[in-house]
Amino acid sequence: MEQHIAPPSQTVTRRNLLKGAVAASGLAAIGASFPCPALAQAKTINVLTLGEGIFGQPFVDLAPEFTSATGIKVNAITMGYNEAIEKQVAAFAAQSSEYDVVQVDSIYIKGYAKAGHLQPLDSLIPNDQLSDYFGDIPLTFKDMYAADGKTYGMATIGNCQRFVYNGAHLKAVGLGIPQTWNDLLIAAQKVVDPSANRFGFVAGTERLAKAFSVWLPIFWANGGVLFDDKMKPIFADKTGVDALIFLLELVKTMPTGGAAYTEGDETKAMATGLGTLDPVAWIPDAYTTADAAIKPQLGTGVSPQGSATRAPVMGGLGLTVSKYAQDASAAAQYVAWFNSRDVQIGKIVQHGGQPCRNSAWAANASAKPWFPAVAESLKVAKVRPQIPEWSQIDGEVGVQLSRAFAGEILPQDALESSQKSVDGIMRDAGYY
Amino acid sequence: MGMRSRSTALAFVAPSLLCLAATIGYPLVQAVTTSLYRWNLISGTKRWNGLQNYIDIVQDPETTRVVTVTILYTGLSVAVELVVGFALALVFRKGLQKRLWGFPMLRVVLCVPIVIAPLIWAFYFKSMYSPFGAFNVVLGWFGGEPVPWVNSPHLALYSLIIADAWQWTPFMFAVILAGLMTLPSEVLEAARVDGASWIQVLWWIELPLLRPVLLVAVLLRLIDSIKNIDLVLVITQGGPGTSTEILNFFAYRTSFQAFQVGYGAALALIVLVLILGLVLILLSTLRRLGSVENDA
Repeated sequence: MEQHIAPPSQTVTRRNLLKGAVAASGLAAIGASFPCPALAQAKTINVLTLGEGIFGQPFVDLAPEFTSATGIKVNAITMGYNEAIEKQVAAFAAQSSEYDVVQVDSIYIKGYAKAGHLQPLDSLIPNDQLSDYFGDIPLTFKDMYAADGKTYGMATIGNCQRFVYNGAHLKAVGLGIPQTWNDLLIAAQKVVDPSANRFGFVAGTERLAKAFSVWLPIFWANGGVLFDDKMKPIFADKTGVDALIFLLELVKTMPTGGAAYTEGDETKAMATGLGTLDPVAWIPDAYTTADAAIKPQLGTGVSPQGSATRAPVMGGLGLTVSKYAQDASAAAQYVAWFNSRDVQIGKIVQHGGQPCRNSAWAANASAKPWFPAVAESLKVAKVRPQIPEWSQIDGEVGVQLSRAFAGEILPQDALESSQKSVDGIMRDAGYY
Repeated sequence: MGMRSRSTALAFVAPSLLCLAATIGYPLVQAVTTSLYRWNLISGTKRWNGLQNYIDIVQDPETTRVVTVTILYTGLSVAVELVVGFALALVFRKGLQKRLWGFPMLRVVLCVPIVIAPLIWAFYFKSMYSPFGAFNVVLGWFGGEPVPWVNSPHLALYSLIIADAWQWTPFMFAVILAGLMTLPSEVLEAARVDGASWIQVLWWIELPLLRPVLLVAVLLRLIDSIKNIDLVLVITQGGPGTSTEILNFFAYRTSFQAFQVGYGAALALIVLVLILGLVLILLSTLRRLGSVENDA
């Protein structure tokens, strides 16, 4: 006969539950008042970077190495360009401590600094490290990341427009690599052969941030000036209109839909051999995605010469320390580590990035086929005005240029309309 | 209702009211306040501007262009969805009534686009409309020239309308089919016995009976279409030129690309007022139709 033995009562009463909770809280409180040394040393910083290609890959790949070198853990938050900019602007405006390190596009640096969103690095990074860094980068970088005599960021990823061309297409029509913008137009017109699926000019002509940067290098190369010394816009002059008329001639040689090409279309057109001349490429993806037949045909150079100079547009993204960072010292260590000589020379390129230090460019000159041209381009690249209103100006002018590309309005009207809008923006911002 | 029961009722709804005030009221008040400032998010410059943002919006010639594009986009999308959805519903009603093979299954398959997130849908179409995308590849197989679906100012808006209609026609179809299936069969039978043709039955009997259903469906789609931003944001960014710049995207661009949040908030509030207007029309029409039916 089986005997059933009743188990001891295990009913959880409300009273017992409350007692347990109180005891647990008490233990937790006691534990918290005796900090564990191991835990106290495990600092964590939140880093907002772009998660894409040359701009973001090194930060993703090298985070564990940084942690093992410094003991600082990295909570890497990566996203696309537009999303990252929106996040950082919102976080700064809310004075949020969400991010310790923020990767900032150089065009926003001075605006953020003026608004007090960034910490000067001069007091956070030892002088010898800063001097070593600033003695080893193109001079323009220093100006780009400084404001009011203080340093607010370190370039980290050096980038500017470069000229990508298809040498086989040019050879097929008996032409060499165009050295001037006029030569480029002649070549673009000459290579077009729709029956061979071959077109001339290629660029990311879509509005907002792209269109403006396609017109700027032609305008600047021919001596154009955007603002007078009072920051009044003066770009709708003869040089500006001529540059736009010239650009529209180039756009006519683009493949179907070229008047509103995205950066993806631009890359694909070069990678598939559809296009021949892309003098305003920002990224090396045409090379990296081209199929085996096209890859050997691609070459890279510096943006063509105008009547005054060569003027590819300077880009680049730098690391900054947020004013609202929870741990500014750890954040500054991160910025300094990624810009140190060793990391720049030995790690950034190996993890898909482009360095900013001259020594890193020299040491890695043959690492990628496009590196020598980018290094040369960085020496002559022109910086867009680093004013807080730039993104608004970029959008306004970009829309009007896009309307001109699409044939909605005449070049003269596009530039006059842009200039009027920009004049309003500058007046409203109190420049004059 | 006595005072006691009224206060009991209020006590019950108070938590919901508090939640609503926190989640809708507070952001709304913030948006209205923001719209009264000139505020550059990059520099942090913030200055009182009164109603000037609203005045500027009204006086800006860009606004007229953006409103025109918005009306075209919304009107044409909803019209296409209504006509195609109605036609499909008629075909499916016939098929279902005759118990034709495959129709119940097809009805479900046809509704699949509705369950796809609009943003994902936009990315599908971005890839298909690309100069190197699926549509041009298929055209190429038949010897066709590539078409600049979203790269030409003359085509881009219509391409977006097709993408929108492709996703939302099934919604119209499902609503209208449900309405058609519930029409009183004796009325339709009586009309047929009296010798009415199918087009007369459709025009004089079915459409008037379906009016409340159609109205709700159209207004819901109009509201949804006005606040839609995904297709424009992902595929065209309002271009080429200004050919696809709708009001909501204009507000987004002003706030999050030009970082002029005051002006952007004013634009967003104008969109909100437009949508509220449509909701009021919807509610009052439903109430009127309800009272007509009750009177009858």
